[in-house]
Amino acid sequence: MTDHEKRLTAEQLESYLDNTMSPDEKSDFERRLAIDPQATRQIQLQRDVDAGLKRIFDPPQALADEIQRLVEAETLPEVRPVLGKSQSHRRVWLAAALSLAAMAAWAAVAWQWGDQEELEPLFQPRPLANIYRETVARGFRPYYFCEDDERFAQTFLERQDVPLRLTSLPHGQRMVGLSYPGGLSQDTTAMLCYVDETPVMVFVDRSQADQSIVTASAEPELKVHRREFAGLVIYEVLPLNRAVVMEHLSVASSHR
Amino acid sequence: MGRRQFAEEFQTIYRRLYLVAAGIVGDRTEAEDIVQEAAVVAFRKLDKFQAGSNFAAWVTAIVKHCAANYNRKLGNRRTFATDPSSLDQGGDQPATGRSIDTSEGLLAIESEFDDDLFRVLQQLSADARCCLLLRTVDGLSYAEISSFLDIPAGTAMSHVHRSKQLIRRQIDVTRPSEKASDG
Repeated sequence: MTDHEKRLTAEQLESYLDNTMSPDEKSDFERRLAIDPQATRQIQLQRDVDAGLKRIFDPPQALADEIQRLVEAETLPEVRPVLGKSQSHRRVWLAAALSLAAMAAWAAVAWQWGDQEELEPLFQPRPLANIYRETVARGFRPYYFCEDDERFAQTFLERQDVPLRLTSLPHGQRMVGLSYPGGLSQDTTAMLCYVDETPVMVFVDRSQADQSIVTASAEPELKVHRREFAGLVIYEVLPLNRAVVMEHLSVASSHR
Repeated sequence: MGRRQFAEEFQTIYRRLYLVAAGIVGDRTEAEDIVQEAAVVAFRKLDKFQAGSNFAAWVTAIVKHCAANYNRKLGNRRTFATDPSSLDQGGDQPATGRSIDTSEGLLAIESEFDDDLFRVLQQLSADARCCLLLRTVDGLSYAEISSFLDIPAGTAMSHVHRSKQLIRRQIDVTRPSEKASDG
């Protein structure tokens, strides 16, 4: 048997990993695996990859609970068209749709979705108190842990067109990181903070994205505070009668 | 079909729906939003669902539509699991979040491995990611993937095998020290 014939093929490897070998094939494969360090390494690597995929993409039970809650709610949340910048862009596009090319593109999309063309867009504004509850239930972890003032400012500059800074917070208060949970618009940026170990969320968006539905709260102990500055609207959600964190936000001077 | 039955049916397949959404958009957090959105849309359109037909296939089509809609609408405005501004500074730079775990030993290694894995996953097609996640995370057979995604079982198998090989190749490259130590 030549070295080439001894080497385990990719197909055999996949078949082994898929557990589709007969007992004899498996026994023979494992015997040859014992003297093929490269294949052994590939098997171990694949097991690491599988474990990594499960860690990253394990479907959260909280999602199942949330769907149950959504469906059993007396009234389903409204699903409304995307607001703000995207909508104004759409109007411009529709005006330009008088051109033949745009008409053809639109026809293609309509054909593709057939009788589903009335499906609503993804985004819907939601009460911020609900987002707060969901975020806490999921472990209150941000999309990313933000410890860099420059990146903090840059993120708000890219998402809200205004670079923000957070001045040093008093003792007992800390900002964990940023998330993009929606709320007012799909661009809403949220800060996840703790005040004396109580979770606090501060939502930031452009003033024109503001709408009253976001302040709705079915829980009297959860307060939604509002502030406006620099063309931004800021909401702070926490179980306290006064806002604590948002007063420490200002426009970053280095980005002005 | 009433609210309770709808909720029960949805509960039985939400893991697969989540993995399909995650496969299409390539991100777990967005996948949650998409499945929730699909649940609301499906429930609103329940009168269009024909009793006795395949509920899973019907809802999967809605999830796919919502996810594709999301990709189309957001385009390059998508958000990422790490600081989006860091993406402009080179993918090999350590993400800010990684430093949180580096004091945790094994957790730090896993976090770094997962970051690499997440980056490689973005190189796969949406179909390949869907098949890979359904097979690996939820343990579906190729026949089940075929039925769920309405593709031939052989195609599902090819997607999974090729994806695994690509991932191993790419991850192998990012672990030169281990390779060297193997001799």
